[in-house]
Amino acid sequence: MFQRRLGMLAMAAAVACVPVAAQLTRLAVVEGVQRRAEAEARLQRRSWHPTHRGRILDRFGRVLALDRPAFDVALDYSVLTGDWAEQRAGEYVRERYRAVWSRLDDRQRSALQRQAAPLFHAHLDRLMELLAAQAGLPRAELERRRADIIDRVEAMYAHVVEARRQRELQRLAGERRWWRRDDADQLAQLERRIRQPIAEQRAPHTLLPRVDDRLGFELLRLADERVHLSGRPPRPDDPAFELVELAPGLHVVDVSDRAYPFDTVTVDVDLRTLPGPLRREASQSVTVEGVASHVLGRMRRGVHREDMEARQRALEADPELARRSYIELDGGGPVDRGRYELTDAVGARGLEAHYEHWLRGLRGVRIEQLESGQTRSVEPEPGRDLRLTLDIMLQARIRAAMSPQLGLARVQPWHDNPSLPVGTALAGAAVVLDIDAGDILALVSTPPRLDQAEAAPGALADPLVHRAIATPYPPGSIAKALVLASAISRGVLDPAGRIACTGHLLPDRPDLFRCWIFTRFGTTHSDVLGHDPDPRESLMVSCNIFYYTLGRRLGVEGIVDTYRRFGVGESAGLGLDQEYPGGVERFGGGRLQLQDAMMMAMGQGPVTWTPLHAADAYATLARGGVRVQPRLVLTDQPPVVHETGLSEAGLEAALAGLFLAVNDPRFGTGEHLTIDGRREPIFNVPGVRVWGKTGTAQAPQREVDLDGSGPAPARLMQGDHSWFVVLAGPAGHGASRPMYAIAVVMEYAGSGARVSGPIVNQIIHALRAEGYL
Amino acid sequence: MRAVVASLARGSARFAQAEGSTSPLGLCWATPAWACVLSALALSLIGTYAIDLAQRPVAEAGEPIDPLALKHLVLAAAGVVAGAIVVVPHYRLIAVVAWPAMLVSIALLVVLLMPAVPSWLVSPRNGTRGWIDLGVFDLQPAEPAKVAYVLAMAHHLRYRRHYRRLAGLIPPVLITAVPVGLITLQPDLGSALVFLPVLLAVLIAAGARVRHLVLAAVVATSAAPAAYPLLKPYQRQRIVALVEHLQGRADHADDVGFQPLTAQRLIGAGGLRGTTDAHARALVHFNRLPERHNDMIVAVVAVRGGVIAVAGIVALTLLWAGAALGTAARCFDPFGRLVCVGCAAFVVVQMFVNVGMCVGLLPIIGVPLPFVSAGGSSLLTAWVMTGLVMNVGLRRPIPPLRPSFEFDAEDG
Repeated sequence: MFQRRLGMLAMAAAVACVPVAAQLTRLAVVEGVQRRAEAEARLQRRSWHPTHRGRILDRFGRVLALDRPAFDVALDYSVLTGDWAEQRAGEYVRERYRAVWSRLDDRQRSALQRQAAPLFHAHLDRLMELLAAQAGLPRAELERRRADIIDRVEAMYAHVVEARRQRELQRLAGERRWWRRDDADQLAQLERRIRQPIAEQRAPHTLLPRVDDRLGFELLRLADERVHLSGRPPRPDDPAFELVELAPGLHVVDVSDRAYPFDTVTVDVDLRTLPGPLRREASQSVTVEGVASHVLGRMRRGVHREDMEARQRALEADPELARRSYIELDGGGPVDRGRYELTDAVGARGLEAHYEHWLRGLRGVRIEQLESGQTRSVEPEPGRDLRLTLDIMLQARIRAAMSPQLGLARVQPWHDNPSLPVGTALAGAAVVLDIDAGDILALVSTPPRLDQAEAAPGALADPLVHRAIATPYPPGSIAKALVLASAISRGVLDPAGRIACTGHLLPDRPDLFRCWIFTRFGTTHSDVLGHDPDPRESLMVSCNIFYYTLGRRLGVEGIVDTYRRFGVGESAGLGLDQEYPGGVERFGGGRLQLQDAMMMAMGQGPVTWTPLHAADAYATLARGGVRVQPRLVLTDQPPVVHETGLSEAGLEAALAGLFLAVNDPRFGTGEHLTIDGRREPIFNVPGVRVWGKTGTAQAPQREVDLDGSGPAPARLMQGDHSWFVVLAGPAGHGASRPMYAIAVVMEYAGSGARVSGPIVNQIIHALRAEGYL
Repeated sequence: MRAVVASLARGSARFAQAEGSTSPLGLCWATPAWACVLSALALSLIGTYAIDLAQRPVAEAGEPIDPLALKHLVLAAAGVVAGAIVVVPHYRLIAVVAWPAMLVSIALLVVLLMPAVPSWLVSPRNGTRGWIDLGVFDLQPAEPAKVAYVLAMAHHLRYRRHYRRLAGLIPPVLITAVPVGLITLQPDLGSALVFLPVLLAVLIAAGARVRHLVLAAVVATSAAPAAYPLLKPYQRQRIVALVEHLQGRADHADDVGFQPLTAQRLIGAGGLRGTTDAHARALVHFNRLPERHNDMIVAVVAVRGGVIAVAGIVALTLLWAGAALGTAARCFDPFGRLVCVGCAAFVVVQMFVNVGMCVGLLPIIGVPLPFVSAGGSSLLTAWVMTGLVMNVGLRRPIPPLRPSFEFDAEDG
């Protein structure tokens, strides 16, 4: 039996082996490689070095956005107070006298510590000397700052301790005390709790605020270094043999921020070029803020999980970026040098957001192999620059022309605005395209998006919306040029074909499909001209009957195809938020009918687009029917080109009509203004030739909540959007051709010629001032 | 080794002992207890190397061997001498001093707890009043108490059979409760708890009814959670951390879980076959494993020699215990039998608790690895136990040649 019992015990030991063996297998065999990597990762010390974000430049290399590097140099509180020296001296003697430590009593131990402490204090003294020398400050100034910090923190601590004491006393007063008042243990415990250090005593404190990157990088390098305590070469028996950090508790905190140098620009406007009532023999300085803020976007501090996921996706999508970003570190696998830390700044909107991973820099890293003492460094790599097609000064001048301060973007008496009182600031957008390259030279939306002002309640127009690319507008009459070119190209209109203007399209329904001249003056274009308008004249006079007819001839498919070929329904892919692709569809869906086609032929009905589409479409006409996708960023890649299949005859007729519309003094709808009975030309830039078309597009009604408090009081926004699209080129002998396409829309502003005309004229002046024309 | 296997396999020592040669001294030299000595020597040397590895980050610099490792080696030599001394008197003579030894041990444990003891004699380490400063080395009375406990328990159980009844289990439990309680008060719960499986092992060997023991074990196990609120906060944290690690979480990697997680990382880093001497030193040093020279020595061994080395240590310890059990099997005397079983139980239980805690199966409690961990008292105690087993192994049976604890007829 005894033997059997012994067998039981042996069995028990064998059974106990099983979980141990299983766990050992799991640790060393299954997870062995990973654990080896983790353990070996501790054989190296890594320190990461900051980098900076790429700049954003305009087409001439002017810097629109850049990182302003700055570093706060901070020291741990224990280093400032010298407690670090006492603490380290204690650790040091405990390690050095390890063999006998347990036999020493408290008195001997503290004697040893006192003996060692001066070495460490001297080390801190050298550190302060070093910082003073590096920062170029007198040592006394540094000492004064240090004393200030200590005074401040100690005062705070005394205050907190007192508050804690009061709270404890209150608590004890309310509690039944089961321990005696003189219970020393309890009191000591209470006192310990009260005297616990506060967070400020554990945190670093800034000694040198906002130093430049040269000093910042230098100090970062020093923070990594380890030296022998005495500063002398080591002798094994020397107590100063101890290796310590050269700069213990030193923190160099990256506090770089993003600067936008051209955010506020002052430009001079020649008041002699303005329409009559505004004209002065002087020039005015106009200061505009947030010049390209809609386009550039802004940064936000603080990283969200979505940002990290986006970074991961970007790395997966772009092998080149991944190649540059990942660095192999022994143990733990590849590390992304551009990974987000929690307090990093992230592009929040605009191009800063869209080109986040292009602009974002890659950190440097210094790896010290503790086992061998070898070090390896990878230099930080700044983010890449982003070169835009924008001309920031042109943009600023256009912003000035469209600022309510100047008066053109304010309701004026001669606007005849039916819904807004005189003096109301008008919102709108402008686009300038370089026709040959498809470069966007200016992309303006007013009111500007300023950093402080978020959607102010009561504003008639939302500053957050980028009107040049994000708001759906009905094209209005400016679409007629496209329809004309398309109709001739498709053969539904003879280049010399005439269509009679009868005032209203259906003989027995004078209330439907009317021409504007019939509505306003009760006459017809055929009567006014003395003959039926031909294709060129139809554009010049903007005859609605002519285009209803073309719409009927083209049919739904023909009209929709026309718009599609000019880019409606496809966004330019600029990388800006909320880009509206444009659309041809009925509200709420449903099949398009023939009357929709007829409305769309004159730019109304179920079709919407943006000023960028308008400028792009007119540039396409000027290019001979070749559509080049507009671009906002200068790249080496060839432009994206689409053929529209328009015939030469169609294009020629459209351009000729556009020329007449803004140059014919008698009938051109966009040639002159009539103010208080006096006529004056809209365009007054000498040596510039213009082609163009006005549009007065019926706008959807909209209620604006004036004070943000609910339904009333509200203002009903109604009336017409004011369009004007112009092609401009230098006037010259021989074949002069358009070089720039300019599209302007002013919301609920009324007549295209009267409101947007003078603004387009100012844009041409701006092109002249910046040397384009 | 062959003797151990033979004695265990054959089932009865009566035939085996006839094969052993006898000397003029009346000693039986052919005894499995030699395997104990060999494995103890091997483990002590492994321990010396492992401590040196743990203590010196770079092998080339400074003295040829770390002072702590040297101390371990010297103490191992002292242990051999102490074991040899223990072998000299017949174990029946030693039985005479069993109770006095137990009383002295208890007295020492009480001294530790007395607040009036001067601090040069007893000063707390990590909050535990477990050591008496003797100048040359620090005595941890809980260790010799283990030897005394084994002797006392063997002495108590040798000619009785009352423990075959359920109520008769109460005296052995009370005897155990005294050292366990005193050590718990130090507080050193880990050292105290290893007494319980030893008690169980001795009772099993002595022939207590299995169903009683199972009943007691079930009651004790189900009562254990009730003791949880009585634990000190750090002890609770360790248990919580262990459960979390087993669930695969690493929430406490920087505080209470730092030690076990670091140990497991290093054990994993060793892989199957370990790594070079220099690399192992660097890994141990820069991973900052706490208590690497004593409680966590298994992790150091694993880094150097991998799973194979750990398995080797477990196998050597089991060899020691197997040899002790073999010696017990060949001995007819009830006291000698129980001494061997008790010593084997202490060595094996401590080994499993220590390895279990290093690999992350048990919470961190300060139980050393016998023969390997640095720690004078533990090492000397283990060698004295080796001496006791040798003592039993060397003696020829004394008439009457009736093996003890044979309750077959009435077992059940």
